[in-house]
This record gives sequence, C-alpha cells and structure tokens, in this order.
Amino acid sequence: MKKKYWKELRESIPAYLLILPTIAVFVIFLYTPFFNAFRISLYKYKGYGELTNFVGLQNFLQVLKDAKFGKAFVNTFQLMGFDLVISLTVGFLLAYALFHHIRWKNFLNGALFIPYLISIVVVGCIWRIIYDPSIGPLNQLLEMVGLGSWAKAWLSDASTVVPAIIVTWIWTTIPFSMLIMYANLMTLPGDYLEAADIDGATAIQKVRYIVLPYMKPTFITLAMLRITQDLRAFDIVWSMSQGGPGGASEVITSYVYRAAFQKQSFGIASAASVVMMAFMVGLTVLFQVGTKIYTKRRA
Amino acid sequence: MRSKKKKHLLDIVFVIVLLYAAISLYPLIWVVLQSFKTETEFLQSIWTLPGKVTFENYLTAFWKGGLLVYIKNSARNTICTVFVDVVFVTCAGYAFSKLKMKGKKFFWYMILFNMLIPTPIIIIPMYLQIIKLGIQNTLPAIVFPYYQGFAPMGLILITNYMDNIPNEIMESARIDGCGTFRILFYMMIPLVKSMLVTLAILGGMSSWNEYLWALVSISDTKKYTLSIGIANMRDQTMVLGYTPIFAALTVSAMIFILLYLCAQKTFVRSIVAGAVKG
Repeated sequence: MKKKYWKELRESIPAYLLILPTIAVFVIFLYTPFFNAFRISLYKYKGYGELTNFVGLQNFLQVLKDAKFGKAFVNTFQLMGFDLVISLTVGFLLAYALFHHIRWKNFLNGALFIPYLISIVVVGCIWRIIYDPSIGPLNQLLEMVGLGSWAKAWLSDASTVVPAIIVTWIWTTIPFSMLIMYANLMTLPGDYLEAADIDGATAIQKVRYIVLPYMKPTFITLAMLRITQDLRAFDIVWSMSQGGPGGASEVITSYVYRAAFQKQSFGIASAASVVMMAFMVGLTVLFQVGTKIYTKRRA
Repeated sequence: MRSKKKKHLLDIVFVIVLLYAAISLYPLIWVVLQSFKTETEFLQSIWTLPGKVTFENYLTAFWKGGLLVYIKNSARNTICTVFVDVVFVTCAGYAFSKLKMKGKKFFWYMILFNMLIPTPIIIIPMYLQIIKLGIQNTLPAIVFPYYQGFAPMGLILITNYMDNIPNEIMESARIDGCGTFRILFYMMIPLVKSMLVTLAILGGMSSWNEYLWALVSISDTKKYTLSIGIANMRDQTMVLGYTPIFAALTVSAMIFILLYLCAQKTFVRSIVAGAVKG
C-alpha cells in the first residue's frame, strides 16, 4: 500500500518539475498577496513597516459609510448595465448584418473591429481630446450645427462625465462583441435557415426562433466576460477623468487605487477591495444559478 | 419580387453599417490627420486637412516626449512576458494533459481559482510583496504578475489542444526510448505550434496594454511603459504642444492595428479562442 504511494509519487516527478514554475509564481504573486489582503484590511496601515495597528472591522465600516464608495459602486454598475445592454445588442446587430453578405463585407468586418485593437489608455486619451472644451471636435461640431448652447466641458461636469466615459467604453467593447458573435454565426448550419425559408418564416421569426437560441451559449459567455471586464474598469476612467470631478466618475477600482496610492490608507483600500470581491463572487454565483434556472425552465 | 425587396433591405442595412463604421473610425482618423499638421495650423482649425505634411511632430514625440524610451520599455516587458507565458504554460499544459501526476485536480483548481479573484484585491498586497522582495522596477516584478494573470486562460487553451493529440504518438516515441522532456520538445511543441502563436498574441496584447499594475509598481520614470508614458504625455501639452501628442497617440494606436491588418486571420482566431475559453 505504502509502496504504491511512493511509486506513484516518484512517477509524478517529471510532471511536478514542469508545473513547478507556474505553481511558484502563483504562490508568490497570487496566494500570498490574496491572503494578505484580508489581513491588511483589518489594520490601519500606511504602506511601510510592520502591521501593528489592529482596528478590527473599522475599515469596513468606514468604507461602507463613505458616500464616495457608494458613488463608485453605483458608477461601476451603471457602466456595467449600459455596456451589457448596448454592447451585446449593437454587436449582435452588426454581426448579423455582416452575416447577410452585405456589400464590402470583408472591408467592414476589418474596419469595425479596429477600435478594439487600441489600448484602453490610448482610447481614453483620444476621447479626452474629443471632449475637450476648447480644442475638442465635439463642442466645435455642436457649434457648427447651431447647438452651441449644448457645448460644455464634458469631463469636468459632474452630470456628463459618467455618460461621456460610458460612450467611450462602449465604443471599444462593441467591436469585440461583434467579432465573437460573427465567429459564432459563421458556425450556424446553413440548412437551418434554408428550412425556415421554405416554411415561409419571416426575418424576425428566423432571428427569434433560430438564430438567438443557437447563439445563447455565446451570449452567456460574452455577458460573463463583459461583467468581469466592467467590474475591473480602471484604465478608461483613470486616463479620462481620474475619477473626477470630485469623485463624480469614480469606479470601485479607481477608489481602491486612490485610497492606497494617493491617500496612503492601505487598510481602507484593502477593505474596499474585499467588499468588491464579495460582490463579484456573489454576482457570479447569482449569474450561474440564474442561467441554470433559465435553461432548466426552457428545457 | 421577394428577392428584390430583400435586396433593397440589404442596401439600407449596408448604408447604416457603413455610417456606423464611419462614425466609429472618425475619432481615430481625426487624430491621425492632426498628427501631420503644424501646431499653428491645428490651432487655426481642427477640421482642415494638413496643408503640408510634416513629420516634425513625430520627431518631437519620439525624442523630446520620450516616446522612444516608452516603446522600448514596453517592448522589452512584452517580449519577456510572452516568452515566460508561452514556455511556462506549455510545460504545465503538457504535464496536465499527458503526464501522470498525483494531485492533478488540486493543482489544476489552484491555478483556475485565479479567475474568481478580482485584480484590485491583490494589487495592494502584491505591491507590498515586491517591495519586500526588493524587486521593484525590475523585470520579474512585471513579468511574473502578468504571467499569473495570463496562466488560467492560457492553460485551458493549451491543455484542451493537447488533449486532442492521441496518446499513441507519445507511447510509440517512449518505446523508441524517448524521455518525457524529449517528447515535449521534439514531438509536442511542433504539434501545438499554431496554439503557441495564439498564446503569444493573447499574452502579448494583454501585456502591452496593461496599465494598472505598471502604474502601481513602476516608480522609476526611466522604466515607464507606453501606457503610463502616453497618459503622462497627455498632461504635457504646455511643454510639447498638441500636435506631438497626436503623433504619439497615432504611433501607439497603430502598432496593433498594423499587426492585425498583416495577420488578420491569425489575430481573429486567437481573440475568438481567448474569449470562448477564457
């Protein structure tokens, strides 16, 4: 019995050697930091020296009471909601149009995808110039068409900064949704639609009863991906408004970053990130359970 | 009759999609156009085409703005990260897919669990960790955290791919006297070559574009990556003027666009694979 155990272990040595680098990286750069995050969230900590000033759950209370964290939370979910609905809908419509062999199909397919290839920071910088009150094309365009009174400093106005960021964000996410859905549509067996044509189905019926059910797994995967990306959004906000003016466009990640690296309250920042993780895990579980119930009901 | 109506409908759809594409690409085209103007020309009107094409903005951006240094740093980080990504993930994927391993499930889930951990939660303790290890501003402090983020998706991709390679090929090689590592280098790697390209593209794109960790961990301005550099340059319009910024934005935007246009099929295949399996 024991001999067999040692034999198996010895046979595993080559495999252990091969996974060793990966496991080492994970222990040092994932698991140690991960468990430390919970520990740090219980201390008042300025980022250097030992953890000595234990404060219990006080950091969590402070985060949950902070109106700015609430704002960051709302903004994050606003970004996510708009992204999910608009990116998936427009992405699907574009993919479905390309699927129908419209003219210049290959050109359009390539051109529409381009925004996704630009790094988010560069996207943020480009759009920051577009929204610029003096040299920005948006204001000048509004003036040209006689809507000069609408012109404003989009990114320094607390009421327009979040929509402005959302528009930019969606601009880069639509091409991605489009590409994935188009790839999925190309695998749709042609005879499904032919059979529907013979039965005299209308275009809307075809989408409703054939295309959408066929693409459901892709919609779920994409929604999942979008949610994780949206919750982690930082680059776009930081490069466009740095969470300003006065915290109006803060998202959770930028809140965490600011707390740690601008205010030197690492404990508060860790507590905020733990709260965020709890929500993310909750949301993931909810999403999984939701799709399970939905698929069961349909089946 | 019916097909004629359908054709008209498709034409309308075509016009709408074309319009969308034009609006969607306009910001980028606008930036590219401004980058060839002189500063005075730009300040006079932002709508005109460049009167006389000038490359001076690019020179200013590269030398005075430091774009060259940023690109060099980003390239170095990306090349090293891609190397580590591909080598580590191939080794581990081979072990998970083809070798006997005690506790395989445990190690597999240990790596995949990463997907449930949001990045912000480990950013702070990871920063404290690299300070403690004394590796701030060095390559390992960039490469290994990036690998950690890449590993779960990369591992799923390559393990699935290797699972489809029949075991008989390896067994016959083993009978011929090949050891585990020789099989990996001389048989497995040639067989999974196209997947390695996919892994390199996915790993390269995410490392090149990464911002948050670079911003947190790099304190030495000489080591700034393109992401940090571009964001900093945007705030230096007073020193540099506007048009060199446009030149810098054009260069950074165009790098992946050009790569994509050169190898569209490979890129699309890689991105789709990354999305479906990630």
